[in-house]
Amino acid sequence: MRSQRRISLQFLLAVGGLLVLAGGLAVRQLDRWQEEGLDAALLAQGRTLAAFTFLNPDDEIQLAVDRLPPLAPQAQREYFQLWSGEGRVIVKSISLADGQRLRTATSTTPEQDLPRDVVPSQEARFRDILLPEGRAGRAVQLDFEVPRSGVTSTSPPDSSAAAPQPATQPPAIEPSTWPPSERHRLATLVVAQSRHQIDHRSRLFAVTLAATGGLLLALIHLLHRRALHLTLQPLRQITHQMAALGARNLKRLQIEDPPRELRPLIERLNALLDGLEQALARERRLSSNIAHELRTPIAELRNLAEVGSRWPKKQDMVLQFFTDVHDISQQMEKTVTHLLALARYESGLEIVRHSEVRILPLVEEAWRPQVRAAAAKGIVLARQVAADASVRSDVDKLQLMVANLLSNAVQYSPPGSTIRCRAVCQKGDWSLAVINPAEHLQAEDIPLLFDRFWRKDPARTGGKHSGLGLSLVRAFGDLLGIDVQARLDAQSQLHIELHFSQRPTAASVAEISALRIG
Amino acid sequence: MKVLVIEDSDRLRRSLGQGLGHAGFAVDQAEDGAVGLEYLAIYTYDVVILDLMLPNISGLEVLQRLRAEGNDVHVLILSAKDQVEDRVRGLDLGADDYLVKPFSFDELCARLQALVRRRHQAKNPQFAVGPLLLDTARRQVERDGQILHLTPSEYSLLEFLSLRSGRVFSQNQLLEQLYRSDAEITSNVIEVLISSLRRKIHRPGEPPIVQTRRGHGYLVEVS
Repeated sequence: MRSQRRISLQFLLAVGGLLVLAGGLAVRQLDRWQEEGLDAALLAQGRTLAAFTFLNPDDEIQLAVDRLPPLAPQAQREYFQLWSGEGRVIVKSISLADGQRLRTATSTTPEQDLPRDVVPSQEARFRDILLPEGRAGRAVQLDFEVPRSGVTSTSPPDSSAAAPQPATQPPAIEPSTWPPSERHRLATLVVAQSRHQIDHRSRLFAVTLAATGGLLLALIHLLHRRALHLTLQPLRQITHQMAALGARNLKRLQIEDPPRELRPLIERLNALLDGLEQALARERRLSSNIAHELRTPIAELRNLAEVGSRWPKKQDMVLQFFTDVHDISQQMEKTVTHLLALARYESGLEIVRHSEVRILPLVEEAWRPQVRAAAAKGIVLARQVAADASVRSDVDKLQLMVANLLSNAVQYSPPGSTIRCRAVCQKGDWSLAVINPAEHLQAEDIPLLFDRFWRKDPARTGGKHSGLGLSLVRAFGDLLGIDVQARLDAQSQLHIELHFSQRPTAASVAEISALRIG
Repeated sequence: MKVLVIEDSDRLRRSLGQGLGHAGFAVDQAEDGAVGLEYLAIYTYDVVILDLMLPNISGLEVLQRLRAEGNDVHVLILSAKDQVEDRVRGLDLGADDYLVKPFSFDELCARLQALVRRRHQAKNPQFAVGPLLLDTARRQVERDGQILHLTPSEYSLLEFLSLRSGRVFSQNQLLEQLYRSDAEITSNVIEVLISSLRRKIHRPGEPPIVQTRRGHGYLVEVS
């Protein structure tokens, strides 16, 4: 999954960046702490050396070398150099003297000198330097007034032979005598040490930190990928199951223990799949119905044409074929007319002219075209409509609606049965119902009644009805704002009800007047 | 060749019956599955043309019942159902052919002929009967390279006997096979037909192709 890799990479980069930043700060802090320690050691060392510096009776600056405490084994790596106020080197450490074991010697080799500031300062000055061996080092420069022999600011030496005892604490340079009045009493001491140890320690720390960080990063990456994998598992399942969906496979999503955040999404998708499946089933039914509704008359026409043209001299047969062609064309014309009407009504372009419509005369008008067919089957219409019942609607369209309902009822009611047309007023709203026996229907057929071209009989025998009548009724209902409902009662009577949501212009109890037709 | 058309569309059934009748088939018609099964229980057919969406008993159920009873008549399904699964289901249930509506009448005739040939294990539409060459596709007969002008009834009689050469058929059997079951004709028609057929196909001095077995019926026997 590309997004998972991207998220993982972004997270890794962010954590890596933070680790590098934190590591850099830690290394820098360690460096500072080490440097502070080194500086303190250098300062202490410098002050110790300063404490052993004195003016001998000849007013010459001298370091009581012999009295210096023994050097530590690593002393050779320690550097110091003492200058007089005039810039003359008084003494330098062995490490600065070309390997010669000199304690007190002047050097004429500038590159073996430690760097110093020629301008004296009361403050100890620290700096990073390059040691004569080319290594990085750290130095402190102390400028101080040298006490006369026997007089020192801290613990002066009593004589040239007797060097002063080293103080337990480095001597402080008293600012009261600064700058010294006698130039020759000014001395400059630079003490240096290699930075190697602290740099090495810092590098070691940085490497350790980098290795630990890298390891940590790898661990975090693995854990993060695992967590991401587990978190995205339901999404992967959804993707996988969605990818398998198709017109022939609309299996609902089944995600094991989905996270709470995804449940509404899964429920919504499953609801959409339900709707899609129903729509596809309706579409398939419609396509199949249209196909059959059109294929059969086309097959009839083609066969009539081919047989008629092959034996044109069979006049009786050909004449009968012409009659058949006429019937077929009428039937197809009716289907096309209904389809166009449906399209027109559904487009909303049809103009609706509302007026006060009396229901009983409208039912009578709608029944008139059905009289002959009803009589042939011995079907009667029972009118349960009050004489003064009226609604506000488009009279022509409403009459077509009722005519379609009655035609449908006559077509599918068994011979000798009664169709009821009943108008009822409840809470000021009228409803008109056409009720007929429908033993051939089951409850599951009711939602399909208004589908285009739907017919209970899969054979579609008989070409009088195209299966669009009830679709037209529903389309009219939508156009006129009439709620059309269908239900099958316990006695297998089909009720198709038109609910008018409006105030009645007349309301009374319906009268029952059954009239036998024909 | 006798054909049963089981089709609920009056117009299509009627026009098919007339067309196939003029093409030389003896056609019975049934408007639904139940009537079709009754016909099949009484008469023998070369081919049944069966619609699938029939009232009362569907075409597939008719087919299932036929095969369950051991009836091996050739069945050609003629349906508006054009989906592959519909065709597969029909063929799986024992149909021999499937034609989708709307269809070509000529194609239907050709398929019916093919089914009849299959019934007699004859793949070639042309076959020889002695000096005669019958072309079942064109429904014509040649002798010595000359086309013999037979009426549809004469051709049907000759083809029926030729495809079953060596077997004797009574006048009633021939009537049943060559005419609609409800045709109001007498067995005398067969005698007249045999007589006119012999005049057209026989040559003097040669052994007759259509022979009479006195008291039994007629047969085509070629040495």
